[in-house]
Amino acid sequence: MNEEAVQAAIDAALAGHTSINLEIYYWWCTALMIAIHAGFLAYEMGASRSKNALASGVKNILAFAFMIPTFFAFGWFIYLSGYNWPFMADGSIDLIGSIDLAGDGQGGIPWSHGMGPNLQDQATGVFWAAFTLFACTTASIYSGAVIERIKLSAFIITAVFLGSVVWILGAAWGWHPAGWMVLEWGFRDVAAAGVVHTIAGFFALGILIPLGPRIGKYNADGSANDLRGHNMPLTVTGLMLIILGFFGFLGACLIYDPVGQWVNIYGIPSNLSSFVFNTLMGMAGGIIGAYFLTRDPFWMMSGALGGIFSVASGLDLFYPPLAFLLGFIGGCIIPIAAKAIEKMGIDDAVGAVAVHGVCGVWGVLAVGIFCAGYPAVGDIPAISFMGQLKGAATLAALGFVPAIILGYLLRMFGLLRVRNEVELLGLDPAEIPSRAYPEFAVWEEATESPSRGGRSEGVAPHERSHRDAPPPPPRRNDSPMRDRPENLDRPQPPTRRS
Amino acid sequence: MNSSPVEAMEGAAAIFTFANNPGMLKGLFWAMCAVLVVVVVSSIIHEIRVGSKVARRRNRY
Repeated sequence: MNEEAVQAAIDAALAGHTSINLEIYYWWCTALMIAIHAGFLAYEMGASRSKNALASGVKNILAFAFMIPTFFAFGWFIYLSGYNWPFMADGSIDLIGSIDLAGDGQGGIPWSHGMGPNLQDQATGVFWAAFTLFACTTASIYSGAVIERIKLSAFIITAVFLGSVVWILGAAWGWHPAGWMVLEWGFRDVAAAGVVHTIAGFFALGILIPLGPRIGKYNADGSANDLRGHNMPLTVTGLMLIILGFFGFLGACLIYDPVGQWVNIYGIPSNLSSFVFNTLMGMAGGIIGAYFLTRDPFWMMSGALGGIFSVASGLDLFYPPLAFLLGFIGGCIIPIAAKAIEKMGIDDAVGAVAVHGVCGVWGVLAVGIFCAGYPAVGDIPAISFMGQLKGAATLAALGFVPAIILGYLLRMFGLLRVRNEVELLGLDPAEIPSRAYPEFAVWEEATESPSRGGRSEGVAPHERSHRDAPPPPPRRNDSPMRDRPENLDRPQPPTRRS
Repeated sequence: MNSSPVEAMEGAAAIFTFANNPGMLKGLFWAMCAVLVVVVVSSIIHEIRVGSKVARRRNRY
């Protein structure tokens, strides 16, 4: 065998290994991302009162399940074809003509040859899977905010709209090397603080306004009660699982190349080492910031997430101590923002708007403040503060405006929120044919359970109290908020915690 | 000439069922979409029925 033949054989073997390693890398990133959803499942069930624990879990499971086929159906196509939408090359607006149907968009059509088993295509499947899990993440981010009163069907519709349409359109604009926000403004959001977290957070805000607060959240004078979830250990464990899953998420934000230089989603040279420095430092800063302000484990673990999002846009650029400080600021912002949102009469059950929406904006702006002037490749302009500011505003609006329109439409048709009677009884006894904690219930013979459709099932004592008589006076120790001296004389809400 | 089905598959492109039958692919795709829509509609109906049932039961007492 001559020298050329040997070299050709080596090149062929290397090319084969490169493709296979790429598949393996994204396969495991995708697997790791499933921990995000296990985490959100635990987190939201723990953050619900016990009468709603399973209903919150069902919501998460179905969000995951519906996102996958809908992202196959149209989400991936939107990403590949919508990077210029609705603008034409000359800046004019053309809603149809600006969709890339002939180029990359072809690859996203659900019946194209790349969208299924294909021995010559070792990339489409794993990239589609990673993006599908990103989409599932947006739905899970939003789902916590609306627990305990949204209809399951309304949640599915809104979650699909967020994960398979709104988010991925934002990704096409600002998380694609040919996206118009990238080419026009030099927008940089390496690990999706803006395109995932800002959009999902503001989408949640847009739904929360028409959805309204949970019964008992606010008193007649407008003061808020603290409707604590029934299982804080489960909640904080769930948050830790989410962090584990985010290592898969962040890893999948890099373009893997086992023999050359890794690049980020914009094609700019980068590597995993820079990602891990700043992920850990931002997370630590977020935990410490939230601890400094609240001493509360719920906010500390939320601060861990907020710290990661605070550095996500510039994950490959920050000096690690700067990432720590950015995360610290993010951890401090979260409880303050959550309190402000609560004071506005918006009942965000888990602080999703503060953690994801507000920290997402902070993360995008931080790149504009601390990395302005950093160059890019090809036609992408250098980073600028104004580019980041316009990008953050665009993504927040992209999340908020469609959500509030859809939310009011669903409310108009009575499809958004469960009836008050169902909310008071609890979503689990009303709609779920299982019990989260059956051994703690005292069952009563011959009492109808609507979720099982028969008369043989019993109801727990807390259900009976809602059904049999006007609600009893609430207990003083219902929540830590009420224990505070300034709250003792306030009118109490007409519900008891289950 | 290929001597086995495995060799015949080497270098093949799309190998999924009905890959060369676009009409069938679209039919399956829309069937999947129809299932999703039916499940959402059934969920809406279920929630309306459950809500009415809980309200009726509450009003009875």
